[in-house]
Amino acid sequence: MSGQVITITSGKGGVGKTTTTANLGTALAMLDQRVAVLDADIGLRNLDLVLGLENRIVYDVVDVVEGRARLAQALVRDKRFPELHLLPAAQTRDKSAVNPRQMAQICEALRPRYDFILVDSPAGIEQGFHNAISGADRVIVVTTPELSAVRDADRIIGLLEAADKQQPSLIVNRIKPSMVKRQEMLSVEDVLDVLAIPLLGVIPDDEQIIIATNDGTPVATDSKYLSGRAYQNIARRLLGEEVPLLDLRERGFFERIFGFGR
Amino acid sequence: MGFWDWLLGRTEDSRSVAKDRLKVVLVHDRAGISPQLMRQMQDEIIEVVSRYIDVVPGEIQLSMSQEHEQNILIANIPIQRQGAAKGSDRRT
Repeated sequence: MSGQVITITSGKGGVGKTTTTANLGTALAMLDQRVAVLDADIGLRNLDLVLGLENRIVYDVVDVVEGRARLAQALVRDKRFPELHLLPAAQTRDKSAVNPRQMAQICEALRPRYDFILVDSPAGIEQGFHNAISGADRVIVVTTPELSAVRDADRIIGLLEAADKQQPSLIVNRIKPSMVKRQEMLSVEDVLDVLAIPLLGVIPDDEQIIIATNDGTPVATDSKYLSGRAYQNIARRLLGEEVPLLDLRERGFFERIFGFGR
Repeated sequence: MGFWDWLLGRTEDSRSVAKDRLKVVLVHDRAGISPQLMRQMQDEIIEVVSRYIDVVPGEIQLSMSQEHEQNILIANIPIQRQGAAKGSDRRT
């Protein structure tokens, strides 16, 4: 069976596209899926760092496009998860080094060998974005509960529609339940209400994500953390499982002591 | 804002402010209508409407919003109390 190409994009930078790609790739590999993650942010390579694979890169996507390396040579294998492979972006070039047709060809070439091909899109609405979505069967839009991120997500949703892509699904990242409770932050429902696309998952704002990124070990490897479980649940949803949303409310003193509410 | 909110000096919470601002900006983004174009449209609507009805000048408000996934254009046009209908041949 041929694999599914999923692009992760957002419009605005810094909302967590790369972290989401790394974590979903890891979570899918933990579910015994064959996964290729592709860094489409040429010139601003980062997916390798989040995955802890930065020292293992020999060739990159531009080397493949320009014929200096075969696709199989450029793919970096993750020792922790044999089924997870990374196709790194070039760091010394820019977005114009690859065009949408070439990117779609790479996705097609990866399709027979993997169950999932996750493409990490650069921020913005220019060529890098168009490269990233060119081979996509489906698109995941990542946003945070902030005005600017939601506005940019709305713009991206419009552009995806104009590009005749299937309706994207949404991940709301960095939600702070305590702020929502105090009416100081847009809720997931508020964001869904204005963007009007299906919700794929919610990731709580969690310091552990920063710590995990420092280590180069995605938080999705650890079910101890709420954010890790949230990514694992999204991976299961991508496999077609019905998984209810996590209860993100902070547990009170007694709940923590007695371990309720898991 | 209700009476109790007013009495207790409460203002609208920042989540609601954010959502309202977001709705307005998205409606304009989606329709591709700038504030300048809105003003021009407002002037033209006033011109047409005031051919038939005496409107209260300076109190006309044109805005765009979103309700139930539908973008809507709202025109709030207050009418003068007397002589609402122009022209002597109009039936009431």
